[in-house]
Amino acid sequence: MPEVKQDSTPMIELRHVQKHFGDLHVLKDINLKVEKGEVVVLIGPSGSGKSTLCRTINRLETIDSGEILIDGKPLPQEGKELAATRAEIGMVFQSFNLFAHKTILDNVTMGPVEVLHRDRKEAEAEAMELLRRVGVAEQAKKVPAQLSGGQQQRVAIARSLAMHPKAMLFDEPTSALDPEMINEVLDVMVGLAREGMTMVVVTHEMSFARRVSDRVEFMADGQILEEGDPNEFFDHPKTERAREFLESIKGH
Amino acid sequence: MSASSGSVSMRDALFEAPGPKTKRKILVGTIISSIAIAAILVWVVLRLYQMGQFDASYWYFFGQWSTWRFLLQGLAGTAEVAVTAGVIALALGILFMFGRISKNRVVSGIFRVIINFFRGIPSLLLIYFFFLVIPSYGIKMPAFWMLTLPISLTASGVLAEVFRAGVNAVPKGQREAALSLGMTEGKVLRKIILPQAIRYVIPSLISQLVVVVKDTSVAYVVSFPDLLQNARVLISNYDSLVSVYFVVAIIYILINYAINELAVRMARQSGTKVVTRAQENPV
Amino acid sequence: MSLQQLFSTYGGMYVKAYAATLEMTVVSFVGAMILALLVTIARVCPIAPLRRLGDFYVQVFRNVATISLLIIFYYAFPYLGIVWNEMTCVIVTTILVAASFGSENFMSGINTIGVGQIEAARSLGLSFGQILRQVVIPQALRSAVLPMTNLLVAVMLTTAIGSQVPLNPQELTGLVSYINTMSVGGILPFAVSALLYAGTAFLIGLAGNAIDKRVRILR
Repeated sequence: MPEVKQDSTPMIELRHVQKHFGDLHVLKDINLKVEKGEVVVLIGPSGSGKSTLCRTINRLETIDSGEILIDGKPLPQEGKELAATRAEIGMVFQSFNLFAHKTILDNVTMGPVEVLHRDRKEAEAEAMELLRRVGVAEQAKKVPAQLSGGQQQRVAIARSLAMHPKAMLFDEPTSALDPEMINEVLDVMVGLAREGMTMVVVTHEMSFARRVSDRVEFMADGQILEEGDPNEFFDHPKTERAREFLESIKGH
Repeated sequence: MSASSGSVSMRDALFEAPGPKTKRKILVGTIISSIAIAAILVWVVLRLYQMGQFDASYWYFFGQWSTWRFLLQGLAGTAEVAVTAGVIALALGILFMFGRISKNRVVSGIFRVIINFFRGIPSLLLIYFFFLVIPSYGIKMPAFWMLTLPISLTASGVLAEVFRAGVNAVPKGQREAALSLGMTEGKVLRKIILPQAIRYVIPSLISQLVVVVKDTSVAYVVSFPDLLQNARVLISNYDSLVSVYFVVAIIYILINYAINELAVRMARQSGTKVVTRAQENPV
Repeated sequence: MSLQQLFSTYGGMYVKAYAATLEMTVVSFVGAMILALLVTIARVCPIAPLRRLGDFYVQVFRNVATISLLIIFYYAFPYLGIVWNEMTCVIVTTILVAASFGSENFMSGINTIGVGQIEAARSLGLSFGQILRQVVIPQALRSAVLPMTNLLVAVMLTTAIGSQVPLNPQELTGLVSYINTMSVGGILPFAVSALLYAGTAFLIGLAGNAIDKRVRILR
């Protein structure tokens, strides 16, 4: 039967996802749809499962039951199919995770050359373009240890972008950064959002959520308790839990 | 040669949670390797049996307390040498380390040569020196010291570097803070730096005890009654070589394993940074 | 005995002995590296019995007294129908013991990498083989240079156990014992051997440090 791909297929969809870590029920019946071009922010207290949720999308964490669909297709569980799906979803980590033994340029070309089998020269040219875009082109020949946290994270974003991903996951991208460097990373992320990238972002940065996110999902104790428009959520949270949480982070 | 803690986390992270096909492959691999290992074990045991190695005549004396008492006496000899050599090596090691980190270039250079000398020769060679050469100068040394001194000297070279690695691992800020409180350099070293350095390297020190214990096993060269020496007496008494040598090897393995476990446990409990030999510079 | 006398009588033997020590060192080290690699692969693979076998191997051979192992190969094995010559016994003993420490060094090297980089590589879509080749092995090897240098020196010092079996040609330690049975050697024969050992160890250390400086990974 011919597949008629409608553009209304959600880019990322989670249906009745459950996960336990031993006895701990960390994801309780999660249902989430992220449409193409949407920017969804996951927010909540620590231990709420928001990082875990983000990591199940590219199977860095497994799920006990439920379904995860990427662009309409079920998330593969292993093998080449999983690797191919992962190549289509970029991920940016809290601790940057750049390859310590490679130069910045090699970090960015690793994916395209090894996974997409692109020509090295082409990959390097595009990598330099991406590094210019995120503002670290002069660091191309250095190694990660020589860069600041903010610079490393921007390289990490460039590394993911080099794969031309359909969607990008951000797991607390600015939590490990000194305050003066948070904005340089958020600016890059805002730029991506404005260009129409589908993004799932786990963060506490309310400013980012208000500026570009389409939807906020508030999580606590493994459940999505509230979802909705960011400004609505931050100004008039509906649940008591959300209110408590917003109070606690207002001090920043 | 160090004990490495923390090998568990990475090796589990290298392989991700397997999908169904991968799980099957792993299961097949597990079954095949289990069978293979079991088969090899069975074959070895059968061969030994066929060669008569399980004959009662080779094993009956292990049921007698006198045998074990004799071995334990040997073990006591091993312990005597190991502990004495260990204590001397600790003292000398700290001394050498002080010399090595001295601000005076000449002193530091001399001790660097001394340390590298003792680290660079086999303890057996030094034992031969004590055994063959020292008597020729008219010095009468009991077998115990002919064994303990050379072992402690080679160990002290190693320990000097272990201590130095510990001292280098103490954050520089500590020294600066102490100096700004008005302490002299010497006091800073003794009261602030050294105690922390020692705590960092305790697991390494305990691991070095393993090396010392192993070094003692050449006691027969100087005719000192240690575990191995006593074992040889047993062998000639009962005319049973294979079984005794295997049992002795196992005893050494168990003792050293226990010492290493102690080191690992102390490393885990202390919670402070652990500085291992892997981070030392070779020279 | 004066230095001149020593060299005129035993000079040739010293050269042979030094060569024997070096030869055993190199052969044992290479063998140990290969075995250590295999053992490490076993300890790291997802098949539990192989992991346990690798761990067991390391625990047995890092804790056994080297001499007692040599004695088993040289004196006990003939009773089991396995007869190896002296050189083989020394080399096999050294390889088995050194490989256990070598594997520990490889594991430490792997540990310096950190889970994060592996996850990042996975997220890019790299296969397991690619992750090993591009991320794990290069970093593990480069982090293991200093410990492996120390291991090479330790292997050289371990070859001294050759003095306990009638090796031909003698190595440096056995030679000292031999010279002292033939004549009153005094301190000189010992000093020459000691200097050859310590000098070689020093050179190995310098080389190791140099290599480490070039390949070390800033973190």
